[in-house]
Amino acid sequence: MIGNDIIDINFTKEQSNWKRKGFLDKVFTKEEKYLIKNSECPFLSVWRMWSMKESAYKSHLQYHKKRFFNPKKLECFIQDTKKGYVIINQIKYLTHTIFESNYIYTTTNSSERGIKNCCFYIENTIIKNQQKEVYHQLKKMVSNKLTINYNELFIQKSIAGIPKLFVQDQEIDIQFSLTHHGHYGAVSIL
Amino acid sequence: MTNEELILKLKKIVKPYIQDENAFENLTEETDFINDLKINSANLVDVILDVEDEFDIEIDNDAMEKMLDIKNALAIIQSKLA
Repeated sequence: MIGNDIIDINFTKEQSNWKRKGFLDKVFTKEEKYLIKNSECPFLSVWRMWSMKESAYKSHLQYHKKRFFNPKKLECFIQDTKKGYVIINQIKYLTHTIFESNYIYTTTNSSERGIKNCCFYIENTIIKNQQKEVYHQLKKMVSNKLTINYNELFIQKSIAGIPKLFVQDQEIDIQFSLTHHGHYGAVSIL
Repeated sequence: MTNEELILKLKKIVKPYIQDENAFENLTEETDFINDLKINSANLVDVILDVEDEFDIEIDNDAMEKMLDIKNALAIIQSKLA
């Protein structure tokens, strides 16, 4: 199972106030709050761990299906500036995070195989447009990888809200994860 | 408080965070905060904190876990107000 999550750094500064009373207590465990408090840049530490949680949760959801909203149940452990892991109900999800000047990007991969990632800039930040752009990039990547005509690919969401990829009426057996936030989007495929 | 009154209050709380106007205009008990209103998951924390402030209640993590749609939010608020 794979998962990914991108955070537009400038967008998140506008959109979220992590210093708001109660915010950290709802999202982070005691150990995570200790890491944030003692980090060189608490802002980056908060959003790195948020992206780790989101990415691992997406991976978890593909298998366990049942959605829930409880960020504290997704416990982050930091190994170095890139590597870490998240524990969800005793299952360990390895994460890999990169920091760029404008975004933070985390992927989760439980497979032995490597994943292929594509991060891109999105001009128009309206949510429908972000989704359209991410779908376009996914179809482009899958079309290249499996040599399927781009125009024959389409995407439909399952009841749980997870997007699935089809060629004509056949669901394509490929693992992927999509994310978008503000001006940035990313696609991971296994 | 009736569910209708609660929905009005909830609509006021979620309005600053929604990213789908259409779903917001047509909001029902079935409306999902993330899938329909496209509320960013970090902003869902704000919604929960705003609900706590507005109704002067505490939503613990077990209750928060189900706060994915209007129906569950109403049930949680009603149970805490009772």
